[in-house]
Amino acid sequence: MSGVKRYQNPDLYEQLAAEYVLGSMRGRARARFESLMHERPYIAYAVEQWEERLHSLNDVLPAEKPSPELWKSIAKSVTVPAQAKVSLFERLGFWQAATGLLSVAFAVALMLPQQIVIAPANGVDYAPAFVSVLESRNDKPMMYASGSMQHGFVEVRMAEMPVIPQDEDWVLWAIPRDGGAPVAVGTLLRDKMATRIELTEQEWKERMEGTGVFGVTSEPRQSNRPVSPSSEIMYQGKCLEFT
Amino acid sequence: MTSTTAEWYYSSKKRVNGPVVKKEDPYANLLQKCADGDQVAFSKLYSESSGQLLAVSMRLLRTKQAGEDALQDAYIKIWNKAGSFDSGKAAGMTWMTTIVRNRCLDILRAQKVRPQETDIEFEGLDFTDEALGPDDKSGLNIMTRRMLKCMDGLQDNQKKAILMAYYYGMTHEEIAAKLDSPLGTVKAWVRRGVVRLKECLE
Repeated sequence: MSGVKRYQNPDLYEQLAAEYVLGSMRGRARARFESLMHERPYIAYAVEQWEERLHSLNDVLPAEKPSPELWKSIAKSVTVPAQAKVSLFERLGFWQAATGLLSVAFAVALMLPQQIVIAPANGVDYAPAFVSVLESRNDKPMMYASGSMQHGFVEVRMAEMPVIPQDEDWVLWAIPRDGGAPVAVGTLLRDKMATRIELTEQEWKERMEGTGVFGVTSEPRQSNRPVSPSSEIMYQGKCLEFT
Repeated sequence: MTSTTAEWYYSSKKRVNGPVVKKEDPYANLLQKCADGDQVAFSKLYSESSGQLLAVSMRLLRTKQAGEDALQDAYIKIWNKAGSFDSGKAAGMTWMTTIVRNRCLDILRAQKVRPQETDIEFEGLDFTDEALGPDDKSGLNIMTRRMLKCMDGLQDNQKKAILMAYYYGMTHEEIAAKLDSPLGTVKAWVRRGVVRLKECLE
């Protein structure tokens, strides 16, 4: 049987596909087989079948707990291109330079009037003092914040259920428009679609007044409100005040 | 045998197997969102799959550190290649497992000296004995249950050789040394085991 026809024998290529997926095929043989897979769909199909069969064996493996650093390294690699890495504060400088009355966030907010204008978090309608739509780095609206000093709270609502690693918290930061340091408004609840942060009038003045931008970062879990952010901002949105 | 025969075999298998009816695949949905650049979906995908995939990479590479290094590369590839994931071809976990395993096998291939055995190595195949035992398997999906049943039907050495190759990335030579058996015998165990598995699964 010639070399070419050899690989048309189902018994042979099924065997090779199984050994390829098992991992016992190594070196040049593995590279050759990968070329064959690309050339011949029936071989690729045989490999897919063996992948489905053999990978099901992993269902019985006891899961392992990855170290917290692993996700941080991965997130860093997939979200911020190396040439675009800037510190949090450089990032803030960019935001503050980027002025404009009708931001993209506001435009999105206008598309969600029922959710934005009235937030019946406590069962009572209220006129919010501000709204902010926080977006991911690829401009996807992820959450919105609203609040009222008169009613004494800030509320953050999520577009979808957040998945927060056990040893981390998501913290909402108020970033002053005058270039001052970010102030932690509060920690978002895990496994909840909405978080309500109660603030006294004094706390409102300290944390909320003069806010130009809101941001959310992932911080190591701690009992106290963090003093300064330790990681890149994941979501951000301009603060649109109504008063 | 002609190429027409081979093509027929390929297409007839699809016919015989019929349309694939898949249960809802949560990973597929997340991968599709990743393809759209949804970082929250990627975070969720990681949270839900990393424990299982780390178990895969740790066994292949013997240490947690090496397993995590490979996993980091793999998740970056998963993010970058999510657009090429085809839920009609493979389950999300199958697709991700292939990426993780291929990265680990590349690393193994590049190593001139196999790392020393670790605690992971000594774990052996006990965990599969429990899974292959008569206890409740209701938490496992249909393919896994079928696969375990078919594995249970193999001769002991065939089963051991296949599982050592799959879980620990051992070559025929390494399995031969571990089981203190001739290389040709080990190759035959794997070959016959694969044939029997296929017959059983079909």
